[in-house]
Amino acid sequence: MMIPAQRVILHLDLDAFFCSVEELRDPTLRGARFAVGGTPRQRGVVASCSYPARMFGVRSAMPMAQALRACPDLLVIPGHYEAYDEMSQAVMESLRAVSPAVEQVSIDEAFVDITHGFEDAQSLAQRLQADVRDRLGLPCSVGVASNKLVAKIATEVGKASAPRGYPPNAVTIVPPGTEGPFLAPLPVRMLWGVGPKTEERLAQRGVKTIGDLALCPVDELVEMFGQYGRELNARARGSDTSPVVSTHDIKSISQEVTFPRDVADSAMLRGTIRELADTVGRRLRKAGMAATVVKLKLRWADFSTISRQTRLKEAADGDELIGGTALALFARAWKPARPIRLVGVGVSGLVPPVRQLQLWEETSTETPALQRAVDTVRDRFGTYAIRRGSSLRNAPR
Amino acid sequence: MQVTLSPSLLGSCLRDLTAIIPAHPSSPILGSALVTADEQGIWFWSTDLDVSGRFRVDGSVLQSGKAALPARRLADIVRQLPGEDMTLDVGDSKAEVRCGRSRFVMPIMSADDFPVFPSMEHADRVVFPSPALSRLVDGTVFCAGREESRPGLNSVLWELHDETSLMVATDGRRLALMELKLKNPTRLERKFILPPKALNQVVRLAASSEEVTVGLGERFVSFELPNAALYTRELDVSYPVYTTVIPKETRLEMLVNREALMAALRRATIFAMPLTSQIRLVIDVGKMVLHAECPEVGESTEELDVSYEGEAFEIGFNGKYLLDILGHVPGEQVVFKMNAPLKAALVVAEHQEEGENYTCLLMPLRLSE
Repeated sequence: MMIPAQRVILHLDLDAFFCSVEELRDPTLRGARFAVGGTPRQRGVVASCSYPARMFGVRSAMPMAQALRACPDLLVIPGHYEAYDEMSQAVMESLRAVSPAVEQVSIDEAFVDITHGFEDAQSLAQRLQADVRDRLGLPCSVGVASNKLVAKIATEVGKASAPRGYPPNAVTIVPPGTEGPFLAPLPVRMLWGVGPKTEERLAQRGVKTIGDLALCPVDELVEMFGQYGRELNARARGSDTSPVVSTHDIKSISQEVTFPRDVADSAMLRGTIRELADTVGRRLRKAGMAATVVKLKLRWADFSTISRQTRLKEAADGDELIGGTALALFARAWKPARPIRLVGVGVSGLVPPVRQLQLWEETSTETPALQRAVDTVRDRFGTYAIRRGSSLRNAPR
Repeated sequence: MQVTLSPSLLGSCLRDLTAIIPAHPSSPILGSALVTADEQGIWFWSTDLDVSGRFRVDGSVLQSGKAALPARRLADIVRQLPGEDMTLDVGDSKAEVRCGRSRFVMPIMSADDFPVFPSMEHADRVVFPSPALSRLVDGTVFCAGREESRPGLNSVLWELHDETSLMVATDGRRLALMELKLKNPTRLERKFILPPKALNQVVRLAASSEEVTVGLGERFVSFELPNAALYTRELDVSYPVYTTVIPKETRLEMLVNREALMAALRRATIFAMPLTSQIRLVIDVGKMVLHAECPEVGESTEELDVSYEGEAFEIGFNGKYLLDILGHVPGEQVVFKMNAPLKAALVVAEHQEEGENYTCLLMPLRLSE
């Protein structure tokens, strides 16, 4: 891929995304100390926490039990992942309106290559932020730089320097040519690929900031980290050539669930697999694709994990076939009485869907019309508005 | 019971007979052939309860009688016998086949346990020319469904009118309709829904005879020939209303050489996705491009000259279905009559055969945008 000499990359990160969506669902949560995630009894972790809760030291990925110790009156809200998914897609659509090159990194974060836009970065960033806030009611922070690495760090720096206790709503622009000085005072762990171990080894050499790292001779870094040292040096100087890869060209879709308690009941596992397959199918159809490979992932209580897959004879996007295929894989892999911790269903080998049209549509067993009707119901009223009889026992209460 | 007969004549009779027997009979008696020997000659009978047949074999009756024999075992043995005549000797509990210096003994079942054939005594009868019946069946039955999940389509609709006869078969994706003008009036107005298996069988038997006597009973239809008769139950299914899916008017017409298109399709399907056999046809003034592709297999593109004046458009078909249809439509040139990429296409001969109205209908594939 050709990388233009001077790129303009925008990074957008939704502020406390799950919590912001929860506040839209229930406005009384505004200003409250709350977290989205599983309860301590379910071995839950904090998936997202409100800014007031952060004042008490609550952080994402913290075990919920620990979060409650830090902030005893913390409200724990179960996640409404379907709603997050929908809001996330709406945000991604606003980004695609700006540029087709949108790389979604996670549910609440994306890069947009705006090199070929006419608007200057500052006003575009502010316009996008206002659009997401006014139209969708979501706060977000934006960073703009000449590459993905610096743009992402710009967002983080903006967020960190905002007043505490509120959504940051930050916009941070790093003009081209100023990447090095911008990064120099920041701690090395803010760089991609610098984890606690690398950080520690660098610290032993007196390298604490990114600026320190940039001044480190490349040879020395290569000696310490192999070829990776070369990359570290480049990153420290604010150089990153990785392109924005449009995630519209998705390669696979999967969904998995870790049970609050390990499950050995085959009926419940089968029901869960059906539901996961329904979700995967729906996302597949939303992406306008069909799958040729169906995968099943199982993790047992002892953390041993297997992944099984099968190639379909014909590309499919229907829940029935995806679920049925996943269940067939399950029947072969399942060992009765051995409790399962995690189950996942996925599809890959995505191709554009081709469907044999029928003279009489109602003669087919799983009609596209039925599938469409189910999708419509779920789009309007949520995933659980219409369910399979077989998965009713798994219903959230 | 004792008869002598020629293994080769018996062999061909048993081929027709075992074609009726299901692959996995639900009871031993349904896997058997009833043999009867009396002043009517030597007859072999078989049934799957929907379709039944009886077949006469020339031979000498030395002693009359009847019994039920394991049909496939008998057919397997007879096929391996040398040319000289064989003797079939049926006792109380077993049957013996002797031929030259070979001897085979098989257990038998009581003829009384063999299912009773439908009585066609009070049936209306009409004499039907064999070629016409064959034409009806050959032109349509290939489109009949084969999926257990859609039993209503695993059947063939046969309409007998006074001066015409019509047959329709469809699997829900493609449909063939053949209507023939009859030389002799039938003075009948009847509709039947029959299993494709029976009709295929009738065509094989009728090849040896100019006419078939069709018996129209209460719930059964029989096809009688001098040396064989086939009985089939009318299927208890409702046939889909086929008239509503055949477009009355079409906007776009394309004329193409049938053999050339078939050859191009045979090449293209090698690169098509298995099962859907998806072929994309890009049709434009004077030419058509066939395109097929399959991840990991490759792709193919081929251009054909056609007579077409309309707007450029794309339509996708299952290449194998289209090949099937083109293999049945007669003549050098075929006409595609279409309305839109997602609407049924009609495929007909440029010039219909005399006294014949033959239409094939194929639903396209929805191509990805």
